[in-house]
Amino acid sequence: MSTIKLLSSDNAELAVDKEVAERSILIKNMLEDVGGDMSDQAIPIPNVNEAVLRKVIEWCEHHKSDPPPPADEDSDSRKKSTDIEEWDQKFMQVDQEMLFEIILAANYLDIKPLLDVGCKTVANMIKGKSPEEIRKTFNIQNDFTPEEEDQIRRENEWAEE
Amino acid sequence: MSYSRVLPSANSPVDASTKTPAPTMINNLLVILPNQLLKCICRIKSRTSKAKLKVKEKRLSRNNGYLSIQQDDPDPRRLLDLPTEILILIFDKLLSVSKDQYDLARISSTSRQFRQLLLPYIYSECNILFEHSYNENSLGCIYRRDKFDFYQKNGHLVKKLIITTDQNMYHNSVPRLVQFQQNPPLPAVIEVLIPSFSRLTIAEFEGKVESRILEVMDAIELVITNCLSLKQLNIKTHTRRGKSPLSPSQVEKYLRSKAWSTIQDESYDEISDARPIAPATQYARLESLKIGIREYAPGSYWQSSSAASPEENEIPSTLEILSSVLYPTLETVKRFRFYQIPDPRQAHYEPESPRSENKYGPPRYLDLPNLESLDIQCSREILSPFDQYVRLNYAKVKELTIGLDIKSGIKLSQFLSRFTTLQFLHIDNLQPFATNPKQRLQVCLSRPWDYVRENMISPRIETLKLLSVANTLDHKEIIEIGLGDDVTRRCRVSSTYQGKRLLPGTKGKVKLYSVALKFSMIAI
Repeated sequence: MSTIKLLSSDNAELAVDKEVAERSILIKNMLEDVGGDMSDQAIPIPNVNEAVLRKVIEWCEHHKSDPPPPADEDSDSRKKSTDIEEWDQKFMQVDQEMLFEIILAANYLDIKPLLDVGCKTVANMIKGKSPEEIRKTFNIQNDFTPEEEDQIRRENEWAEE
Repeated sequence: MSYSRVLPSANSPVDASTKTPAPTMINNLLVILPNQLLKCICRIKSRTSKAKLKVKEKRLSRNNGYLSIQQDDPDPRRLLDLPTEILILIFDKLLSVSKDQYDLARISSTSRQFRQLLLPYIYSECNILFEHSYNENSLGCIYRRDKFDFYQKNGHLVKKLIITTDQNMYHNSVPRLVQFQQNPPLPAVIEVLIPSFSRLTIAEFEGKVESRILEVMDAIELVITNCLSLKQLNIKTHTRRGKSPLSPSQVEKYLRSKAWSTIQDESYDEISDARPIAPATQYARLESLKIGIREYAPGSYWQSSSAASPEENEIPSTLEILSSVLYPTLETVKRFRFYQIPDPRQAHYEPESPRSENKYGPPRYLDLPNLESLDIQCSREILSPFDQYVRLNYAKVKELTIGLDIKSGIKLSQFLSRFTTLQFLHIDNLQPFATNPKQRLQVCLSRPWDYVRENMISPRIETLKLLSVANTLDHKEIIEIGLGDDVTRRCRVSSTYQGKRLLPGTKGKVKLYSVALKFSMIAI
């Protein structure tokens, strides 16, 4: 099996199976465009640092034999739920900073299923929490004026019905 | 994967040289493979949207490069630092679990940015209940005016409008009836509400509208003339023919003019800036239309139609009025669903086609010349009004979804013969259980799928690409064998198994299954 090299933003060179790296549509298209052997040259991934890149590769490694997602986006049951498979749940047990970095990397590298899992993880962190709890969890400032808060409260009253 | 490599710490000074290799590498590669690489770099660049670039810059300056992910980072990346496109993805996921708007509204009070991002979700669907008042001093409708105001203000976010009208008033709405001196009729309210709904794509009207059908029609007309982005219209209503607050002559005038100003009354003044609409010059171009109407004969609920006065009997049916309101929007309709709200009481329509000219002029039809997909129930209650009021170009219909009603006595194969170039055929309930034991004996077909092949599939095998049968009692393999190679080679067969079929092996159950199979052939 052929391997390729990826170069992280902090200049670390990582060797990866081509099949694994091709979970990233960005890399896959790139390899297709180049059309040949990239084994002697590292592909620069300028938006992702080494730690994050390793994490992303770990995910791709585990999911390398997943079937391709259904082409029909509308009937996509995957989108409809925030259920995450067990391995992914464990994989996503990282600090928030890393979680957001993984999401950004998945977006940049165009790995839709990983982006999906990342977004679901964050959605699950928001789900069922009060605004105060959400602020605490994500270190968010309450930047509403008391008048605005009052207006939102009135607006929320009808939505409750 | 292991993390054996030691990460440079956040505080260690960053050597300028460590930041440069990426571009250098690109330059090196450029020398080697200029053409392909240029292409691929362009692709990377095009994929890196502005938002991402911005984040990248922000991050470079903040973290001195991409070197740190440690917890003690003085300025860690936070949720709201993520680009908007990703936050939207996250809220999409969130929406799929917290369907109700209240949950979103609650979450939106976290911070200003949260609110900004969640507002489009909170206001995307405007669902308002209008209860009709029977108070003679105040004949209009009762609705939540506070809710109304918020939607009016955020109208540009509304994608879907659901108007539910109810002839009955709920007990707890009575205080609202007395709260306002005047209650405006539905069209007046809708006229004030919708001008800001510039991005509305779906409108639904539903509810029981015994005597207020013309008001609902006016409301529909206001929506199709004001919300030009509208693509889908769903109408689901119970009504009674002839039960109108207007006299037949007023109805006639209405049908001729179709401007709601003709039925204007003082109570419209309640909403001060309500004004009669000028005759419309522009209409929404609908793509999808769903109509489910249950219309009773004139007279009271429990009496037959003979109890109605001759004058009442001449009042046009809801479908006729609807045809005259909708006709400018129908040319572009591609998908049409025509169904009936289930009701134990007898349906009004009798097979009496073709319709003739009446005192309101020539008969009006729902003309759907460009229809591509039809969804219909194959029963007499549906097909007779369908044939009387709907006209379409059968040769253009590519997709047909059909529900089978075995009690109707209508032959599906006969109905299917109208469609000459079908590509996709979906049949629901192809093998329903028989309920009357006597009927079971009427028709016996030993090889049902042979019958389906010969009568329904073979005549259109040249064009048919997909046959899907839902709620069948047979597994896919049995269906495929029954249909034969000729069919399965040309046309994809998909089926959902009802799961009620009892496993072979126990005598009685197998018998029941085969009886059900035979019986279902009466209908097809």
